[in-house]
Amino acid sequence: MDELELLKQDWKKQEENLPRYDKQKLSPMLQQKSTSVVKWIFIISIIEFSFWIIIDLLSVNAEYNDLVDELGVSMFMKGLIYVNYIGVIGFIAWFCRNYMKIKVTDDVRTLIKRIIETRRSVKYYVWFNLIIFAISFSIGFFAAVSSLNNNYDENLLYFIVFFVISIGVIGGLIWLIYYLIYGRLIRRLIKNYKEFKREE
Amino acid sequence: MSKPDKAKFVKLLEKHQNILHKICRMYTNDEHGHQDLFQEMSIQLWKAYPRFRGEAKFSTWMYRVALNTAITLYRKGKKRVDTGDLENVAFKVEAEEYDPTTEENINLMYKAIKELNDIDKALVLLYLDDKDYPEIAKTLGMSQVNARVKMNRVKKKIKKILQA
Repeated sequence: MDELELLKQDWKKQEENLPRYDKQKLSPMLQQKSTSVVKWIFIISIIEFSFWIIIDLLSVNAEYNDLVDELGVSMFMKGLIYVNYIGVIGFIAWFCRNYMKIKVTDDVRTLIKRIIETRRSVKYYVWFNLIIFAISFSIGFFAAVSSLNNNYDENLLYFIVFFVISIGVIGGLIWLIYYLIYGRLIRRLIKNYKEFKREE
Repeated sequence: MSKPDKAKFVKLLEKHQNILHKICRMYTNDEHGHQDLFQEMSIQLWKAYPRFRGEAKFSTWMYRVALNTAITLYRKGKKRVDTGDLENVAFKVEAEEYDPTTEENINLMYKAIKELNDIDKALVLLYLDDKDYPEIAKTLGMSQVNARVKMNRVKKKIKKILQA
């Protein structure tokens, strides 16, 4: 006999050994808070969106505008700000669209795919912000360097060290977010999704 | 959306709770994990209940939501395999006519299943619960051919463990 057929017979008998919860035990369970992955992805995504929006708002102030004017890159920076705003709106809309598509009644593969896609929309949003940040940072950096007349070599060295440290800190932060938080959260999903893809 | 009838839902949950317990036994290794997953599945079912239109049987709908929760949404504890406990806690083999070889083989098969990945476990679970291949394929979101191919692999794997 097929081994699994043997197991199937035993599996049916297992039903007699299953626990039974009565209504008094079941009802309070429904009031408990969910620990679902989707809920956590949603919370962390909102934090990420908020973080970058706050960074954007904090970075635009009178002092910054004066500096940008002084360096002669104000037109470019304004353009970058518009691109950033359009990006933020676009990414939030994309995230919401993907999030709304997540349905626990879908088949397993579709559900996993949709959760990963939702997460991916936030990942791309973060990358978008980092690219915008890197562009504006680089422009500011090179504009500042090119405007220096005195002590050029000394200041250049100072700026390069600052530039490298900043990139290192930002890189470290991203690593922390993606490998510690998301790694733990969606590692299982990605592994299961790869299992589906392997069969195709 | 009208307010769902909680009493009615709890009654349905109570009636069909075996589905959840069986999934818990497949995906958890101890009593605490069992209760934890059971609770998460109940919450997800309750959240999804207002959208249950009755096109499918409640038990079919419940099976899908619960399985999705176990494989995809459940976050806590993937405590890997304390197989010593599994024999005692998760499955109790009850052969009608006691046969030590059969009992040993069944225990070995349960151990082997616990070591499978999440998708293969789901496949075995659906198979053990007498679902046919079209339904297995539909629940998991794969073609029937792939479901059969995977199932054959799982069978071979179990056979190999038994022969070892």
